Amino acid sequence: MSSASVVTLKAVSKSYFGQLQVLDRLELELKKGDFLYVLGGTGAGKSSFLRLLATEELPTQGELRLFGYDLARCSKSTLRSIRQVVGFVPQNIKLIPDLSVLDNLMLSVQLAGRRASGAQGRSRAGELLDRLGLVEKRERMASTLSGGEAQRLAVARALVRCPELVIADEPTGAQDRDFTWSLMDLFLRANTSGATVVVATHDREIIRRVRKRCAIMKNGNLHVEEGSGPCFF
Amino acid sequence: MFLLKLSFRPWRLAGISQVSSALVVGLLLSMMGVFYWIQSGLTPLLDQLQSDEVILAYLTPSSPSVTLSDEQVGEQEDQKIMDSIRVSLGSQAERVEIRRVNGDQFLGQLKVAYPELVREILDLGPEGKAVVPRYVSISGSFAMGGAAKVIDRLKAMNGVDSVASSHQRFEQVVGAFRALRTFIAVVVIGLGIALITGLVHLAKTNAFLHRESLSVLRQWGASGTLMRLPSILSCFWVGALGGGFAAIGWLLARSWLGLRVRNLSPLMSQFPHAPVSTAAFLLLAGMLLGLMAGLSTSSGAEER
Ligand SMILES: Nc1ncnc2c1ncn2[C@@H]1O[C@H](COP(=O)(O)OP(=O)(O)OP(=O)(O)O)[C@@H](O)[C@H]1O
Ligand SMILES: [Mg+2]
Repeated sequence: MSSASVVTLKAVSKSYFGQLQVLDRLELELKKGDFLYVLGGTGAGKSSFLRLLATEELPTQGELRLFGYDLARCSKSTLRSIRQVVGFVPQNIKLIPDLSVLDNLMLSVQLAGRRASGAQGRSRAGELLDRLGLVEKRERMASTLSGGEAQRLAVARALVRCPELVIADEPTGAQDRDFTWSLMDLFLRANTSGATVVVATHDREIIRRVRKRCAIMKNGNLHVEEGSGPCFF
Repeated sequence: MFLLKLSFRPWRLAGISQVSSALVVGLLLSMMGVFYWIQSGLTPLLDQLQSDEVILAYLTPSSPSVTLSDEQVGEQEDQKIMDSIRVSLGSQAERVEIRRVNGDQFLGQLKVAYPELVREILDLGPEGKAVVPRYVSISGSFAMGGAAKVIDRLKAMNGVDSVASSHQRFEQVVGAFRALRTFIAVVVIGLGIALITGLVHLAKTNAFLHRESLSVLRQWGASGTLMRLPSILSCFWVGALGGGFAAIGWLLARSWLGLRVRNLSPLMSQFPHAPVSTAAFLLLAGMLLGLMAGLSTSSGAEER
């Protein structure tokens, strides 16, 4: 997957049940190494937008390209290889409850194919668990984790596969301050090593302290603030 | 390895229903096994009943005026009848044994059991000769329905007084066995359909339990085949366990079953043993059915 333009949206609309218009003709371009905050009130459509980016859903109208491939037209196998380089942290965390904490990570590594395989993936998993305070719980079933722990595991699961595109939907919503900064640090590291990162958040302090480009979701539209200064919120 | 763990999800969440499904699968499989065994045991029994038939053509008694010295004449007449019987049998004559039993031979046979009776008959002199039957016995395997035709022809023949045959004796038994065989075939097919329907239904329910995990697998870029594996495997376990139950049940009940069936009637005493190999066959059938039912559910997670 090598294309300077990682995410391209052209007049992308999304509606549910053919009437509820959530996204209205969005335009956006993200390049390799970009970092974007997606802001907006509750129900504004942030999650809907991120689900499109994560290939979980398709736009009702318009063209959505990831790594240059039109998602509505590309083959199944292309779609698979796109998914293998995406790390998605959904708002409703979606761990696999029957697998242990470590297995949840290793499954993500394994499905990513060659990219993060073997001993390297294992050591990355160990390091992430350590940084996110989950080392002692590595053998526990994922279903027994607390909300905050599950959220941290979801972030670790997305990052352990060395993704080229990171999409995180309110990844710090259930964290205390310390873990919030640990998580943000992980996103920044991924970004520094070349990944394109999109983070939806409500947290003003994050935006103030970790200054990056912001996009505000309002009335189904995305207003992108240029530059990496503090954005209006 | 991960997929193997995932496949046990239905067992964790709904273990009792998995085990009870497996028990039902086992029960149905064992019933099919028993029916199949009876079915295949009946076939040779039926063939034997139908083919090993004996037809006795009793010849018209010689008149009392015929003296013992006229034996030659009687002999010749009987020989003629034998020839016409042989002709009427047509090509079947090669497969059957035709034997003439004259009065003396009959008495000789009778003497073994009732020496007193034979002495009394002989004391009657020429008169006694008239009450001693002579007959031609035709035994062996007849073509399907061949025996009935032969009997009809024999009855119409000159010099034949009456005809008796094992065919008439077994006719009803054979008919009943045929009906039983058809009935069993219908029941086995019905059981098979019930078994497959049940398993497919279970596979659908199990696939539903896997839905959440499947959406995660899809998100991480798993292939369609990979995503179907947990559902297929979890259905396979039920089939395999059911087959296992059936196999164990079969091994335990095998000799008892054979004994029961063979004690049903003297006719069944030759019934073949319930073979050990059927247990392996049942286990295999269970695994195969589970696999097929699992394959029948497209997980629904394969679309884009
Ligand atoms: N699958 C769906 N079916 C129908 N309506 C939906 C669906 N998903 C989202 N919506 C609607 O779309 C709108 C936007 O939802 P979305 O989850 O994208 O908002 P959000 O910005 O993420 O809000 P929050 O900050 O609370 O997470 C809401 O009105 C929601 O009810
Ligand atoms: Mg949301």
